[in-house]
Amino acid sequence: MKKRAAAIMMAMAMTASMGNGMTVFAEEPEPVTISFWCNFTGSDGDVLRELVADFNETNEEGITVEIDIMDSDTLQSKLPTAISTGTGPSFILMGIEYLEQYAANGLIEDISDFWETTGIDESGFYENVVQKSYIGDTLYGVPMQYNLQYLYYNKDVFEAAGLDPENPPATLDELKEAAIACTDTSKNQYGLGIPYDYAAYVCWLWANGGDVISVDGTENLLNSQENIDTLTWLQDLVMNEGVSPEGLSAADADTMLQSGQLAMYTSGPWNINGLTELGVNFGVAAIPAGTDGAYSPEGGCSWMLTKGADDAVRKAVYEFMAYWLSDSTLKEWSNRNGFPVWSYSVLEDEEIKNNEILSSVSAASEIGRDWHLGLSIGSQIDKDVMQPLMESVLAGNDVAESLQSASDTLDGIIANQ
Amino acid sequence: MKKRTSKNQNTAYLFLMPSFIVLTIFVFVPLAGAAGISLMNIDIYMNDISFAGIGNYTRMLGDSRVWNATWNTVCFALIEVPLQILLALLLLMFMTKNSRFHKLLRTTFYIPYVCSMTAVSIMWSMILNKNYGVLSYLLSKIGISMPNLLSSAVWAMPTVILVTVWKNFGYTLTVLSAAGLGVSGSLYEAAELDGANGLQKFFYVTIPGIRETIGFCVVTTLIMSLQVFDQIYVMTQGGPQNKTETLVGYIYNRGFQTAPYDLGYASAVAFYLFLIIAVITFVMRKYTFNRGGDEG
Repeated sequence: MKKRAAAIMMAMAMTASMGNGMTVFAEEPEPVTISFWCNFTGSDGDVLRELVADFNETNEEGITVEIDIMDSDTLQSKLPTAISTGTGPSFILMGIEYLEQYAANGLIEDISDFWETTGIDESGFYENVVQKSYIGDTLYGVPMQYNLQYLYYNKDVFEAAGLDPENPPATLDELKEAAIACTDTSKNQYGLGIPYDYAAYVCWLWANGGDVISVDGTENLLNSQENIDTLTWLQDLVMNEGVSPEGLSAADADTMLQSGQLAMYTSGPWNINGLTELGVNFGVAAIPAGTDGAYSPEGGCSWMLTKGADDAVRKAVYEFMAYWLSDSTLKEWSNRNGFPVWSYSVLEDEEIKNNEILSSVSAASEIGRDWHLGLSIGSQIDKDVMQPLMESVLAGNDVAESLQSASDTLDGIIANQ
Repeated sequence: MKKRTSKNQNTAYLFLMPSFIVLTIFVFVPLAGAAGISLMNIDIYMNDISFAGIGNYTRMLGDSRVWNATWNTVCFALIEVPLQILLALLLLMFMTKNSRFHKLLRTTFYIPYVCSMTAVSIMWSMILNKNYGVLSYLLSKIGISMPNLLSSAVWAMPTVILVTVWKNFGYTLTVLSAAGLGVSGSLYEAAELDGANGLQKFFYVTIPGIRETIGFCVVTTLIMSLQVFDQIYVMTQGGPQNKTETLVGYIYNRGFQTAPYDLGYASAVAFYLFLIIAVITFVMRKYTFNRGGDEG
């Protein structure tokens, strides 16, 4: 009997110890490797790699994140087919303009349970930024960065032209005056960069009450008197006043801004790093206002979970997304890349408050406006309508005819969507 | 005798098999795939695939950009190919010997050909840039202001053509030189005895002697030029105002660059380009190689 009792006791003890042992094993996280693709080919990609490496070293869940950076065209050529055939990455970092298409085609997962699962307070971030990753009530992405376009200006050139370097133009009239004052073609120096291939054109159209397409993508708003007036104004600035080089591409404008050949230029925050590293004495201001106000197209990137992720991958990706939303990561990203802060707690950080450029960028980020973000035809509008239109207008062709031709093309695109 | 012929044929087929397998995998199957896809309504997301019949082809008829791209492609080919061949022939006139100096020249001219087209295009884009390019800077020193060649509706295509010729003529020159060196010396001696000067020897001995090779160069260069893409993608992106958009560029644009990423339509345009190249190649082979040659 004693033996039997001892045997039972031993069995109970062994079972208990096994149970404990199993508990210990269960707490030991299974290593998980997840990967993401993105198009951060500039210096921001280096910062991103550093942050990913930091996550890989510090996370206690055994998660390893692998990063694959490629140019935008390659990314968009490879990604849909890769996801469809199950050879894509675990998650993606992509412009929010693609979110709608990818969701509509079932290439990304519904992650509406993200906030609850991770315990992160959604209201701790700017609502308009978070909303960009929603379609209806369904969350498809977690914001990574948010940006508008801003007016960069070279303070040294302003000073040399007799302008106040602490008082950048706030209206289109002031912009024109400053651009003319800063132009000195004998030194190959121009007052304002007006490229044909970058969405800055929509800032000017909006400023004077014009537009391109309705937010729902059904109405062509291009052929209006407001747009004719604005485009004529731009053409005059380039062809007659000579404040911008003719046939300027956005890539050339970036280079000219960095080399001090452009006094002013509209661009996203990705130029801040390069200008700072080159020691350019520059300022950042909001896009100047026209007769209708000041507007700037919204942009940004979100993390998205690709189709077919299992629970382990989903959990690991959520962990990484949560890491990204931590104060230290967002602060590091904004500090080093100049992207505006969109987290309330990070905004309270003293270092952020004392960063002059970041403060300017954040202050200039209140005039955001939706530029075909939810439209599947967005890339066609930029590539097939607006770029040829700007090329034609900035080459000196008749504005009304150019606008009519672009409007006809847009009609065709709207009809075929 | 019959058995032996049959055995020889089997051996020949065996030797042909590796090439045939590679061609099947990388040419015939994709070609058949493209032809099939061109008859479908299919986008890059592979959702809602349906049969379109010849719908994509009839759509092409009303698409002005297809005709614009066709015109640009044909213009590119019709200017680039003769320029490349003529430049190679012109240089060949002075390089008929196999001396060290001529070898050095041939090697030098061949170097751009082995470089990546992307790298070459980026390099020329920087050199030709009006705002910060070397050429613009040098010209400004002597008081000349150059246009922004790559964003000018007039100059963009000629500039891309010249860059292509610069990169590729070394290949044509090398092929023609090899053929030129194969022309029998006795023919030149006979021509000299008849009192022919250098120019006459070139036109009446060298050219007829390498006619087949010139035909080969024309056909291969033409096929390559009809598929022009890399340099245009890098240098102009098809602009300004689609003035340099070629068929391959348009295929890429429709299939991979702009929504709705219409692979069916892009494949229809690709098959249309294939037919153009096939017909031109057939005609060229028939009329270039058959006149007195053994090929064809």
